[in-house]
Amino acid sequence: MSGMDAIIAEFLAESVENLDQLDQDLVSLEKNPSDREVYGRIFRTVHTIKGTCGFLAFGTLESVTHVGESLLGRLRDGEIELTPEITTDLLAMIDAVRAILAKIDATGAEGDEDYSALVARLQGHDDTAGGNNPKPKSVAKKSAKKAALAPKKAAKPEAKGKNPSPTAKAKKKPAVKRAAKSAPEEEPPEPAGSDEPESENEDLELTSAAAVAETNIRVDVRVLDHLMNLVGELVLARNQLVQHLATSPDSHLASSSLRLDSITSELQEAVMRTRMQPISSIWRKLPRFTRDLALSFGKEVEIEMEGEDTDLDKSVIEAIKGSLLHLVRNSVDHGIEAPDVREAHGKPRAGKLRLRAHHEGGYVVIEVRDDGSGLSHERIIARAVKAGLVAEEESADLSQAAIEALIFQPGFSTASKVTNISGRGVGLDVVRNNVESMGGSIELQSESGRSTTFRVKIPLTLAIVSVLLVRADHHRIAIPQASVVELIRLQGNGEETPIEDLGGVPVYRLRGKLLPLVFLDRELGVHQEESATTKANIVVLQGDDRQFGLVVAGVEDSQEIVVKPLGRLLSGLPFAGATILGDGQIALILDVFRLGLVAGVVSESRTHTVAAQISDAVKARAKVERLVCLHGEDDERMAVDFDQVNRLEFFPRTSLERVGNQLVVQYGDEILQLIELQKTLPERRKEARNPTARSQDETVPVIVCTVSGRRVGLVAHRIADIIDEDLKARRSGSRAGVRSCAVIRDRVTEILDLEALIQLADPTFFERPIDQE
Amino acid sequence: MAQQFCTFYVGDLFLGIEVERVQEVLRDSDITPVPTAPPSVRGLINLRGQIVTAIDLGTRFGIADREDESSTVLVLDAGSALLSFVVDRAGDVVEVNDESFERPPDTLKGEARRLIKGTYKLQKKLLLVLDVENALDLGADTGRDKAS
Repeated sequence: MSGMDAIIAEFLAESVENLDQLDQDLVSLEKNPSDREVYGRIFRTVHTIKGTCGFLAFGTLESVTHVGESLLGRLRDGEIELTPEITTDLLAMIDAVRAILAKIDATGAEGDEDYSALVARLQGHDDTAGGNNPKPKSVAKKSAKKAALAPKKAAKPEAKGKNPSPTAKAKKKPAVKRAAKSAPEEEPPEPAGSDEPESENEDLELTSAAAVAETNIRVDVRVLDHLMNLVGELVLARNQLVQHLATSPDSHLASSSLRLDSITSELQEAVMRTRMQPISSIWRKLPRFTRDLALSFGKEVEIEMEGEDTDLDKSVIEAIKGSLLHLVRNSVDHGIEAPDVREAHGKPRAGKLRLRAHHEGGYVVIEVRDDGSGLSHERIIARAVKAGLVAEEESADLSQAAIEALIFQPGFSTASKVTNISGRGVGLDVVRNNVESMGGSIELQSESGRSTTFRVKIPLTLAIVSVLLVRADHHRIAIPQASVVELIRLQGNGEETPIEDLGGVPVYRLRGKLLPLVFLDRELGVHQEESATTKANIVVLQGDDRQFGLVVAGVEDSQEIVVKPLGRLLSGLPFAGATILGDGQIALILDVFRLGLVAGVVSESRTHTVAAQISDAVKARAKVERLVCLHGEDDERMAVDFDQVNRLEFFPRTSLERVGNQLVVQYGDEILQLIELQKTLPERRKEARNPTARSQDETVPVIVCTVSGRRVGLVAHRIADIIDEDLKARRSGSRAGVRSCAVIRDRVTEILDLEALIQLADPTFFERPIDQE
Repeated sequence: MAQQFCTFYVGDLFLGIEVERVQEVLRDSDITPVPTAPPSVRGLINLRGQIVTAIDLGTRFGIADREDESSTVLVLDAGSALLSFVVDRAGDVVEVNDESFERPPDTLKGEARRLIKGTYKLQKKLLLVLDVENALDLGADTGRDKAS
């Protein structure tokens, strides 16, 4: 029996996977109904399910898939044209199959649902087409196929007649099966060819299945999780060993430990990779999902995807799935307008929903963009006032960013009418919470009347996080790097502003803005060091919507750690977990939000302070930034964040060398990789540039930057200036590699996103190990 | 019916836990304290890469001001996770007869009553059976007041 269970489990897993693919295929067929290959794939999938369930004695399932298969066979052969009705019924068939599979999964039996109406509908399509489509096909094979199908069709109602009750499946199934298989042989209209198409299909299946089986095996996720844990331990043991051996005089031992070190790192990476899945594993559900949504809203939506093969840890995929569906739902429901409205605005009737995914450092960025009406500020304000999120008199003063921040507030929903899909009280606040709880972030960009874009940034994996180790008394506390904004060290030399007191609350003036401070040792109730107001280490943290400074006794190191849960006995503490460090010691991982809550710098009831928080957020956004301005060959303006720049250098043009496809230059002891801005971010004009117009100056200005710990040089045409600019009036960047646009000295200037830019120029840049000093 | 108990000492108390519930006994283990945790939580132990919460039975029984901070730890498999008790000293494994069992006297009051399931009358002394579930249920012992 257990052998049988295993077979059924395998069948279920395989079928569910195939069904997801089917959804996608069917929807794509609707757009491009002549793609024979897709028909073939759909046909084979249904055929496989039908065949297997016949073998496993699932009669209802077989009866449903059988008519579907037959209809699909004729679609594939071009005997029937695909109509929206047929698509809908085929999708319904897939749903039915899915429902039955779920039943089997839960109870082991098919259940008593009656699908005869659906079967009849599918049969109807098949029959109608068969009846009014008597085109005599000249090719013998064609008619042979038809003949092969015909007896099956005949067998079908006969079987149904015998056993109208679907519960009598055990008996009915073999009957159908036998009839279908043997009929062509017993009453052969064209005996020679009748078997051929069938076997052809089987061959195809066999070869493709075999090819897949050779390179893929199914592994229980728990096995991978276990493996992952073990590797985590191995990494820790390795760290301990390496630390220990660092002081050992034995060179052999040291060299073996070095090898162990590198092998372990590689193993860790490899195991992590086994847990990676392409994002398409959730995305392929979306075409179907969007189609159904669009139909139910009376809208027309085209979905476009880019970067389907972006890999993510399975646990991240699971965790992000719901939020992603929600964003898509949101876009179709609220973003994209009804076809008539779109036409009136001079847009194509069908709205475009664009999904993009790509890697960015240790993160994956997923964008959901619709070309709908954008956010309506009036409606948002009206709604927020009504929901009590902001007072009416305040609403006039809110900036664009503040208004857009409102839609992430709990209890907010702009749908004028509550739909059964988007208006269920589950708002974008849930999406935001979900994303943030994974250490990610969500951003919104909206252009009124043009588009709305949600940009979700999530870490690649949840198992390993990068943390900053700090000290409080003798305790070592790990702070997730995602929460750390910056580090401030007050040296106590009298040049910096000291920690000040504001009615008993310690604050620090950070670039003119008051930053509330929390003392880690006080909050943890451990031995407190003499607090000096002039000498301190302040870690600026992002807790929920607001920043606060955490005063710590010392800042140690940043490390990649494996997060371990704290038991239930320690829930409710300001710790998110614990980890074992390289020396075997345990460090607690700080829960920044909870700490802020306990210390009273982050408010629990967000709604009360939303206006204050929003104004904070606006102030933070309007902060002055220092930029290095560059001019391009055509005097186009670009700028780089000053914080990321190490040095500005001028190299003789002759010293630049090409290694492979990289431009490099010797820089001190190292070889500095160069990225040519002009090449990576070419001008968008249509005419080709005249190559002779290229400047041939003697020296090349290079901006040496550090990005994610790696050094890189940007080759510019001219380095113009370093400026401090209030960048309130920013717009989002319109192309890859550009973070935003701002008006600087009356010129529109593109502020570069170095990470994305490097990624553009050299996709493998961040994957290469950091050069040892 | 004979039953085996893993015995240990906490203050003057001679206690026992059913031997099959005890996974291992660790001596001189390094316990990392957890600030803001309930007082009965001594800290966390790194047990071959697993992090195990250590509950101080002395504090649990309200035995205050013990001189030496012992670090003998009994590790228990509490179903979903491992948990551990910090005790003063580990004893032997003893075999007891069901007939010698008795419920704790009604005069036993307070937290101790919750923590002791009963006693086996051994020849020389009384073996108190620890109620593991209650010992792990820190209940009102929630450490510092979070509202402050």
